[in-house]
Amino acid sequence: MKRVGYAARPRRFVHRLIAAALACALGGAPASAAAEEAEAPPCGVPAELLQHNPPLANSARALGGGRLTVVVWGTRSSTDGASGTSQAYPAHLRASLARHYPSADIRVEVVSQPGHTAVRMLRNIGAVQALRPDLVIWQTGTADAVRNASLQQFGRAVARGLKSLRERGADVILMDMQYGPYTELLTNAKPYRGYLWWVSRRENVGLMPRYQVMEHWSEQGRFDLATEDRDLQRANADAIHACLGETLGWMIADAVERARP
Amino acid sequence: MFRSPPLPAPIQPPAGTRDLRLDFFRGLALWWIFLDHIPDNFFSWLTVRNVGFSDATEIFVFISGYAAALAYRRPLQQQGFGFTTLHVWRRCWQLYVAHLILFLFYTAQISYVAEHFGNPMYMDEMNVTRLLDAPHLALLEALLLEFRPANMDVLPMYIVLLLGFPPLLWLLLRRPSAALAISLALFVAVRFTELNLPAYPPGNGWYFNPFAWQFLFVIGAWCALHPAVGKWPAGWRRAVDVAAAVYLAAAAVVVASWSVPAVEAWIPGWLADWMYPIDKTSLDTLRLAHFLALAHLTLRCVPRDAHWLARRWVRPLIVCGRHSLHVFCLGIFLSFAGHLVLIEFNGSVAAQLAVSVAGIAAMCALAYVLSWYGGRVRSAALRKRELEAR
Repeated sequence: MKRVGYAARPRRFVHRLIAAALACALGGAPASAAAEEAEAPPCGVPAELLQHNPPLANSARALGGGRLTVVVWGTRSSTDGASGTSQAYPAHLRASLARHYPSADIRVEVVSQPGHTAVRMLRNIGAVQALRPDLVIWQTGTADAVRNASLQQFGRAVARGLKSLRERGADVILMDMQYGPYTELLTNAKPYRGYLWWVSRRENVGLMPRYQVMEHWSEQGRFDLATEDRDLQRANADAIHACLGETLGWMIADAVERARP
Repeated sequence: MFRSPPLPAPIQPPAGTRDLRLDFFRGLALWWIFLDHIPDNFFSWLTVRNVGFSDATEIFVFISGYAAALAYRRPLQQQGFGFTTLHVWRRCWQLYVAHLILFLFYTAQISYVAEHFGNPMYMDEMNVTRLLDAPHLALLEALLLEFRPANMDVLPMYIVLLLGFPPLLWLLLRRPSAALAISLALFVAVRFTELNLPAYPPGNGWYFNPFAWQFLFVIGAWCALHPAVGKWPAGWRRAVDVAAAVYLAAAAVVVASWSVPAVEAWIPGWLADWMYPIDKTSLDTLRLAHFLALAHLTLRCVPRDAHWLARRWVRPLIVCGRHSLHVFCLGIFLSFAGHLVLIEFNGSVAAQLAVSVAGIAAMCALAYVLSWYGGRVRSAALRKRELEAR
């Protein structure tokens, strides 16, 4: 059985139809697509997974000025082509933001450091700062889990990185590891995920719980992550990255909305 | 030339009686290690790490220190330092060989996974399989104990701890306070420096930092040589009991907050700031304290002669505890295999139960076979000696 991409789309379409019909019947004015989208996250991601999403004040200010610079600072999975995708999630994020803010000048840059632990990523923080981001999506922890790096050092590096980014006036959204049926077989990501979860609460920065989101998709049968079919793997990777980019875009729009006075 | 002057004999328990609690709790730790190493196993909720900071590793290291002191005290007193050192190092060699065999099996398992499920999307996560790209390097690193894939960290730490054990035991027997002080100083030094053994790939340290974990090992050895340690003066006993119980309860609440959002609200921010992250690499003081509190209450509740230790249902645990090296290695192998089965066929709770039970049954079966065989070998040797004596 092929389970690719937007398997749940027909039902969502029906929901939208009903929502639109209701909105027309009740208010008369057609509900704007943006408002409707702000209610439910894309790709069937349960809203409670994205609950922790503090307002993005800097990004809201930048958008007020008609531009937004986002830097995706991550490991291999943030790069096009490198992870079995033709377009990785940053490209989809750019598209999603462009849809949300059609009149703004949106830039999405990628600083990719495949296989680098948080400690090593931190040494390269200058490259991120140099792009003068309004918002940094910091995806980290994978290499630390693979190498069983010390949680203490991981924690210190993440805390230091957050501090330094925010001092330079950037908002930050953290993003944790990918879920895969075999990843837990080879690495133990739980402590690092736990730390990211906690530090996001303490420092009040957003967290995109990629692991839980992907686990949810896998459980719902949206994507078959265990497949051995190479073509299906590629199609899945494309669809997953599209969904990740959409979800991030939704999170940003939602948090910017709440940051506006 | 190697002989040291006779050492003062510490208080010794009645000879010939084995402390069954050691075997029992070591067996329990082995079962827990197996269950904990299968990710998302529902039955790992039965293990100690879900009710507190410490887990089976602490139990294993503490009991290993305790058992090492019991096993090598008499040789050190009777045969001298040189002989005992070689005796301990022979054991290290056995552990080293066991680790390498385990490594071989693990490599085969990983290769299988990489071959069948190599999904380019997980390139970073499959980084462990890099050893397949440069086997000659990985092999060298494995021989140097620098390359230890996930779940294969405990044995190398144990080997290093045992390597340094002879001089430590010598000091523990003569100047116990000095030995403890040195050990504590090292433990504290790890907190302020980056002291650790190197790991592969370069730039990393050992997941279980031996310079930190040695402290628990030494505490174990110290407790074995001074059985009176756990017996607090009557006036203090109650207070220590209460303090330990309160700490365990508080730890249980904190750990519950990691999975139950409702409980998370009870944890004040300043406490979380101070506590997190709770590091396993350098044996966080919270973990150590948790284990000591747990050990204290366990010893208070389970006296040496507790009659249930002789019951039949406890037997499998005791037999597993007695053959800990073999059972440990099998457990690590089985946890990987079990996880693979759950992924490939069926991950339902029923399948998890089946895998958990089958794994533990296999561990027990191995322990019983070894027990039976060892007993036969011993009695045959005894009979031979009797015949020769005639």
